[in-house]
Amino acid sequence: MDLKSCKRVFWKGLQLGLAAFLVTGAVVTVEAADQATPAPAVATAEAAPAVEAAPVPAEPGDARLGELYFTGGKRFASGAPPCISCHSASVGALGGGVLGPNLTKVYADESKNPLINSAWINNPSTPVMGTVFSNRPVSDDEVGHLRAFFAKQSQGNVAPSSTGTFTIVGIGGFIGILILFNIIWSGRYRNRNKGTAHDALWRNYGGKGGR
Amino acid sequence: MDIRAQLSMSFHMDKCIGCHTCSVSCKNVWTSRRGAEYMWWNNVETKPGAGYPLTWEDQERYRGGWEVSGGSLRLKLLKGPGKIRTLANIFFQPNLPTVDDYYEPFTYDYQNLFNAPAGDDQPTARPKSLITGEFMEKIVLGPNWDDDMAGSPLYAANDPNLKGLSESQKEMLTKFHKLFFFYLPRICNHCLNPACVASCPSGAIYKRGEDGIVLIDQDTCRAWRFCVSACPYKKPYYNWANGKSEKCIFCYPRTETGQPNACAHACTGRIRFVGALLYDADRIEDVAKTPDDRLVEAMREIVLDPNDPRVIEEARKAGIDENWLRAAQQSPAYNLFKKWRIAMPNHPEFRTVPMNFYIPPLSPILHNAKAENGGTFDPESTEFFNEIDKMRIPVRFLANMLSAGNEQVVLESLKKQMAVRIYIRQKRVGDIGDSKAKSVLSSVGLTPQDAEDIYRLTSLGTFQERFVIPETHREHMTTVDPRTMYEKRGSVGFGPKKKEFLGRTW
Repeated sequence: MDLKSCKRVFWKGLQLGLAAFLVTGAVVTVEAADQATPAPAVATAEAAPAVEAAPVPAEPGDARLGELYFTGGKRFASGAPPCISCHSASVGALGGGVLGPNLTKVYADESKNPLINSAWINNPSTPVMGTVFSNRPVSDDEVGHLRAFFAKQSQGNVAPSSTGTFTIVGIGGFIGILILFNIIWSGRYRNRNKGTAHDALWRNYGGKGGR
Repeated sequence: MDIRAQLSMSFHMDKCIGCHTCSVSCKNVWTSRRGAEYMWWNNVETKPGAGYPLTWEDQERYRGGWEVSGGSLRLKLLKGPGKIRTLANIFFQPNLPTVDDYYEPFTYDYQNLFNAPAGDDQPTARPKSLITGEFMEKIVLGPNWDDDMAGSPLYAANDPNLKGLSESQKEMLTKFHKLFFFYLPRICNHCLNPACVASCPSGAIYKRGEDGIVLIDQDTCRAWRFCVSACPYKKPYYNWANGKSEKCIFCYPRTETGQPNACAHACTGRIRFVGALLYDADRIEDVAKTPDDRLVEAMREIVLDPNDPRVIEEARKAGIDENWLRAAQQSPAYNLFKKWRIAMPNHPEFRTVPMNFYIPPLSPILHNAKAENGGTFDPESTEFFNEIDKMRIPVRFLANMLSAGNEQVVLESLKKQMAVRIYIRQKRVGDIGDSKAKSVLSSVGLTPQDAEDIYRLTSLGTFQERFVIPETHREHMTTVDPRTMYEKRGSVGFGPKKKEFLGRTW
């Protein structure tokens, strides 16, 4: 193995190392966030009745279904985007978006609570949400499930949204995968054809190339 | 028997002077558009030479054409059975030529010659790329870059046809007084077994039944560029401006009305002949599978005798029009390829069954033909043809290029051409002797009438003799409804929706 190919192997190894670092970094971050965030929410939700002992307001909806609607695990019938695109509610590994306010305590907030209904959500004059939901309205039934979910969440702690982590993990993973692709298919044309025909001619001739 | 008609062009390489008039007229008519600047549907190459795109004949590199594997025919490009490899390579084809294998098209900044401000130096016209629009540092390649560079150790020495030549023959490439070269004009071969058609994932390429012209449907083309890779002659080109592939269309708007192709019409040396052939489409696969040494013979067999009453009857049944039958009977392509057997296809070993034919060039006898006599040609020789294999252009080279390596096919053609020369010389000059001239002719299997006809066609051929092109009966052959075919005229419409017209004739 001559020095030149040594150098190539070294560079390949370096690239591979960086890619592996980025991808494993992304996976570890996601897992860490997964373990860190939802735990308190669940724990407090279970502990909540004991601490506060406040009567849970009777919400007819299913909190589990509401969570699915919130995280996008289940689609709204109209095809509207899930709440998590813009809001956080202390659920999910990386929280939710930060465009809208954090909804963890929305149910407990006296001024906000009455707004959780389909009429307000679908109202075209609702700031920001109006443009989205007036075209794809959510139904009373779906909002009922969401209310139940919010009622459950409001008893837990507020976990901050980790959009920043999400972005970094996304970029890191993307670059890592690109580097991986670059290594796997590096110089596919050059390796197959040994450069352009013109280069090949000059190489046979012993020259340095056409340009 | 499934008889179809095919338009075929023949090239008399002896007469080609490499003036590129054909290329320029083709470019002016068809490819002087943005994105098509680098395309030369017709190009003329110096042989030996690397050609355009460079080393296109080297299928180890480009993997064009077909190969016989396990008794069946398959595309070299796809290696395995089925279309798995097409799918695997659909976004990146390792065998696709790049623009660096063709050349970067350029123009010159001519305006600067007129508009340059007064200065100390003469204004110059710098080269400008037609792709990027930027000034180019240096022009490194062109469509006929190795034009006339017979002795080039860079381009000529890398000609794939030199394979199998002896060292002393290869030495001729570099010795000035032994040097040889000739020209190879090339258009799309409109093959009977086109690799481009077989490789297209979109099914955009088709061979017309009525005249055998292979065309790319510009509506259906999705720019996968498999035709570019699969064609061993590298005659489909990718237009980077409109994202469609294009190829030589055999000037079908001209041939349909009985006019010769732009390249053939413009040819100053009158080296081109265009005529119709009748062939048996049922036998195409068998012919394409024939072993190399019998390939040219098999191709001659698939072309049918247009004077045979049985063939005529079958052709009529197949719906071939009377004017096509008449044209096939007077076809220069048929005479040169099958009747006189002096023309042969270019690289039949690619197994696409190409339908353009080349008459191999005669060349001067080498100076060392009679080395013991001071290295000069022996005028006392009584053997008529003993110099054929001492010609400057090695028969091996021509055989690699025109007959899949079968030297006998090339020798037959060269001997026949030589015999015609001897016969006509006896007629004109009379210094050979009548009986001797006749015996020369009969020894190569030509009659005096054949010799007269060959001489007539190749030396004196008039426009009507060189181009016997029947008009196409569009009213019978179109798949477009004649009642609506002018509907979109003058508009920017895209024509009728394909599906409803597929398989319908009007």
